[in-house]
Amino acid sequence: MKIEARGVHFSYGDVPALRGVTLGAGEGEVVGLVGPNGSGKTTLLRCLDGILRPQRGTIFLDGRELGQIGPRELSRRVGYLPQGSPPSFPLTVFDTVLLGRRPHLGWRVGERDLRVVSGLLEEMGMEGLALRYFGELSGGERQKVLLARLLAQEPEVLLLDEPTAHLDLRHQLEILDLLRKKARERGITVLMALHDLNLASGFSDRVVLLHRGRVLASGRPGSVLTPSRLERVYGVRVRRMGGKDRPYLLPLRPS
Amino acid sequence: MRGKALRLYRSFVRRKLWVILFLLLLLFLLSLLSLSLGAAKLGPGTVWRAFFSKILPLSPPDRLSEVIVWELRVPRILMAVLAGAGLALAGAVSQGLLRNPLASPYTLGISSAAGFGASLALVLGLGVVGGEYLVVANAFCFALLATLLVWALGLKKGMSPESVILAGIAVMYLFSSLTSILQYAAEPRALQGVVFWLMGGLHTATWEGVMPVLVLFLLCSPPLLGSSWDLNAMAVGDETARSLGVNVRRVRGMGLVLLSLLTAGIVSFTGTIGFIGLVSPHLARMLVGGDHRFLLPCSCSVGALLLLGADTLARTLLAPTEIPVGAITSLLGIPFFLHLLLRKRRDYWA
Repeated sequence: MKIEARGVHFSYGDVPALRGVTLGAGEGEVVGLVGPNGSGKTTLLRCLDGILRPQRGTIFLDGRELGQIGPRELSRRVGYLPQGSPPSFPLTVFDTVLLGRRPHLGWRVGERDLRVVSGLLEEMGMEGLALRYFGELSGGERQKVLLARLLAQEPEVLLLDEPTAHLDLRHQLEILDLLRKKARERGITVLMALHDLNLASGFSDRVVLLHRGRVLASGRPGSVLTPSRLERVYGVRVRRMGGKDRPYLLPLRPS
Repeated sequence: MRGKALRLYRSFVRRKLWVILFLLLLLFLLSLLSLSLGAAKLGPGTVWRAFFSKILPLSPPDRLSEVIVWELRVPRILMAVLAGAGLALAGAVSQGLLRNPLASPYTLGISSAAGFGASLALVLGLGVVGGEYLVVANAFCFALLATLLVWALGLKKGMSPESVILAGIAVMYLFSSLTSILQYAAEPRALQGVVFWLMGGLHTATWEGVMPVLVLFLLCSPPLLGSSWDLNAMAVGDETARSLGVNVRRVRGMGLVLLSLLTAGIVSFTGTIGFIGLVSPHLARMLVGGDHRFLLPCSCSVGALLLLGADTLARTLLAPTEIPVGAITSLLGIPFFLHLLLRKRRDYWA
């Protein structure tokens, strides 16, 4: 396992968010984290990135306890894209993506850092936006810039919280395609929280269903996303269509 | 076309460096101009001979012009440059640390606390040390007290920008109301002293004042300038900064303490000079953008230019009468600033 949580508990004050979560993701694996609001997806990602420290249980990165890894090394190896677009800030697109290089550089920016950034902007078709300010971009462009920042970090593990929220169809597919491509090409581990069950089904190697701070089911999309389980977790009747491996789910009505 | 973004970025960086160099050159020229202007009508030749008589083996033209140049004009120019640069740096860092375009060292309560300390000394003669440094030392100590208060209140709430800003505003109102009470109770002469102090000015600048401010500036500015990358990361959000390996709480806490120390030092000697700390960073942002590696040095240059320019006007426009420099900075600066604000197309903060 590349990154692994074992028996992780976390509470905000006395409100428990995670109650003994155990899960792992292997090298090059794309794991979709699904579950209703408040099921613990964001808290779990924060714990995996070391932003929150679990009150019980341990996180392992390549078999090493997360607490044993210094913040700088951790920031080089694990990248995190928080939920939603931040309020505007006065940085250009290039500078924002360059931030991803921060864990790798001192005060001076090296030649390689600039090449990584400009290469990513080209790969994502944003070289024309390089000197635009973040606040001048559309929602979809903003999210792509933030994703480019994450990729510029060149981490081994990518943690993403709702990377496709509020995006149009094309941007959703572009972003998830790119993530899957990076996972295949470079063996990067991707763990992403997704609300859209169909995107989770279509793009994940494995789906983990969280419910009230626990892992309810984990496995191939087709085996996890069953109508009876979804009705129990979301309280919604769902019709399942399409293939056995990557089903398509049509929510019908609250049950 | 390959490498297009890279080429654009390189020329963007080069342009920013040129802007900063140009501002520094402008500052140098303005210092020369300011040195040769003043209430005492000394000719340029006299000024230059007096100036170089201390550096080169030249005889000074006369004792009076030597005193005017070396004891009045040079320390005053140095103080204007240091105070302008320091207040602007403190403003730019506080806006970055708190992710708020309205933040300035004054919204953190520092100046109103310094004002209260000074008033206490001027009205009641009370202070932490006696003698000629009573007012300065008092202002400085109360400014530090305000910093400590804001820092402790912020820490209690995890150093979130909102909690620091609210704590700063609360501290600011606390000390201004205390100052009002003192002013209400003060004798007319003491009241006049308080009003003058609160208006701020550089007419009291001496070498004894320049040296401590210079030392503070040299101590505080390197770590503040060095936090540029952290500030850039924090612009995107605390969570992103933390995932990039930035210790957000420590950077914000240390930054607040350093910028407060710098502001407290300046304000204790000059009184409260408004506008510079708030507006210089915005002007600098219009010139070089929001990347703190360039924004911070550029803010320093803009602040120094603004304050030196305003002070030169303050002491020459109606010479030998002086206009309070704070009034000049606001009167001339605000319309200029509003003009730029309305004209610019790029909205960095919205």
